Amino acid sequence: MNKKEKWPLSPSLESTQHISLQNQYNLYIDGKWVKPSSGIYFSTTNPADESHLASIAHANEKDVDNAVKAARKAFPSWSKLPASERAKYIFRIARIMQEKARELAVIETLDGGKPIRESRDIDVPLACNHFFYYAGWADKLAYAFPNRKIEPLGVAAQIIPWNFPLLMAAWKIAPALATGNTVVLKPAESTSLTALKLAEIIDEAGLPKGVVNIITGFGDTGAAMVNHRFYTCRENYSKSHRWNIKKSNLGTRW
Amino acid sequence: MAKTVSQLILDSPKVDKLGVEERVARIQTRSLKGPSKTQGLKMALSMIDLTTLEGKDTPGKVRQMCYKAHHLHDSISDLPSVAAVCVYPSMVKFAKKELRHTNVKVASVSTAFPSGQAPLDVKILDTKFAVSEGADEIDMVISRGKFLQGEFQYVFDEIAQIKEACGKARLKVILETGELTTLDNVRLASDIAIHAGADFIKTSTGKIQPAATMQVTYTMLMAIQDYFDETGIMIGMKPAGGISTSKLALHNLLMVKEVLGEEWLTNQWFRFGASSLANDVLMQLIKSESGYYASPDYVSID
Repeated sequence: MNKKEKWPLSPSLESTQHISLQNQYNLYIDGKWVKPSSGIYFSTTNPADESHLASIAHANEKDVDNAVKAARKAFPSWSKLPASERAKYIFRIARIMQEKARELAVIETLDGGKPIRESRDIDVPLACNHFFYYAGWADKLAYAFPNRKIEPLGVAAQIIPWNFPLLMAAWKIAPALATGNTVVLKPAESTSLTALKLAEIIDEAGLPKGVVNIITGFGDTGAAMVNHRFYTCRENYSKSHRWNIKKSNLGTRW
Repeated sequence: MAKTVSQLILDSPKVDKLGVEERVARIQTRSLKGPSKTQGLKMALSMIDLTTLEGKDTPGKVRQMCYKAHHLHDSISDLPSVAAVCVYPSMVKFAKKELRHTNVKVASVSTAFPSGQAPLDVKILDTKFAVSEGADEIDMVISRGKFLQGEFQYVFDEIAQIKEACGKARLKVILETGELTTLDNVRLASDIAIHAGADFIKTSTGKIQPAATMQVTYTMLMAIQDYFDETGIMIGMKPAGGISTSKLALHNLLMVKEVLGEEWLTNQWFRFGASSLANDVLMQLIKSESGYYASPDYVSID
């Protein structure tokens, strides 16, 4: 790379003026932005130049517990809401996401290092479409699974990786909401920003408090979620996941 | 290491047409801005073979074009001259005289341009005449009829003999890709020309449509790349015909930069065969100097 180029190409036009990022992000629990009980924040960076983008809260077991309790509290009323009413909320989230598609795409690229082509043309539009899609299904589940009794399970703990940050959040949150569950979601520590923007959007959409809780942190936060006693996933799945978390705890950085 | 024709037929790879189209489409979405655009435009100017190949060419027309070749637009400082002028053999001596004190080379078409439908000894004579008149470069056409008949050996031998007749003059081999119909044919013809001794391979005469499409140029660049990987010998490339806008020229240069690398970005290894490209590039440069688009009346008529 140190060879001098004969015909260097001027850098392409890049503008981040239309995005709004806060300096510091707290945890979105029970419809409020709350400080982490540990008081610890970590930095999220732009992988292209390793510049600091924002400080993000590191949730510990106590925060996880608060988030799960909030989701637990919101569950009865949310799950009893008519499906068509739930769908309205999800449609609203989808539309606000579409309105902010450009901002989301730029943040996704800044935070995750994806080429803008990919985040602009694939990740963000698909994420919006998933919300639209599951909103449409919410009141038609009886047709999707004939002769089965469709009922929500409870609180879903959701941990998502860094390769499709916003899209993965859509895959997890949208179907959970459509079927009447409540959610505690933790994005990957390296790509939390779009999930936090999604929390802002969910807040703007007026979703009842506690239905979606978004907490951030490292693997210990995820482990605290998986090991939480209110976790409502099936037992065998939970066990394997727990084993994985334990295994990965050995010799890693948390 | 030169290969025989039968080896070439076996070795010449099939071209992934969709892949080529997709790669070219990606390059064509690129937009160059700022200093790199200006630099690219000046580079394009320095690579142009200013061409006049018409039945109505006169010594006067050739002299006028030669003047333009080294006085592109005197009101802009530090403009390069074009690489060469390209004329019929009978016009070579006028061009040579006009350009005797400059670096601009004189290229002459030969071998019964543009059809190539003449006996081999006539073609050799044609070439030797052009060289004796002082041509620095010879642009020959291949026998497309023979190629399409499958007489690849004939095409190979013809190029080799013309190369011999060229002496010190550099040989550009025109494939006339518009008549070869498929990219597979273009690739095979490129390989034959390169192994038969071409210094440059060139897309078209400019008399047939389609001429130098980017897909065809890309295919030929790949042939050059593969030959370079095998032997370490550089072969030049000259897209000709149909490149009349600055944007298209810049896209071609980008393609060369990204396929072959910057070593090819000199007029020793890359040329544009064009008559109207120079004026369009000049108008773009005038715009980048003054901020205004000038009327075509402000650049020379040709």
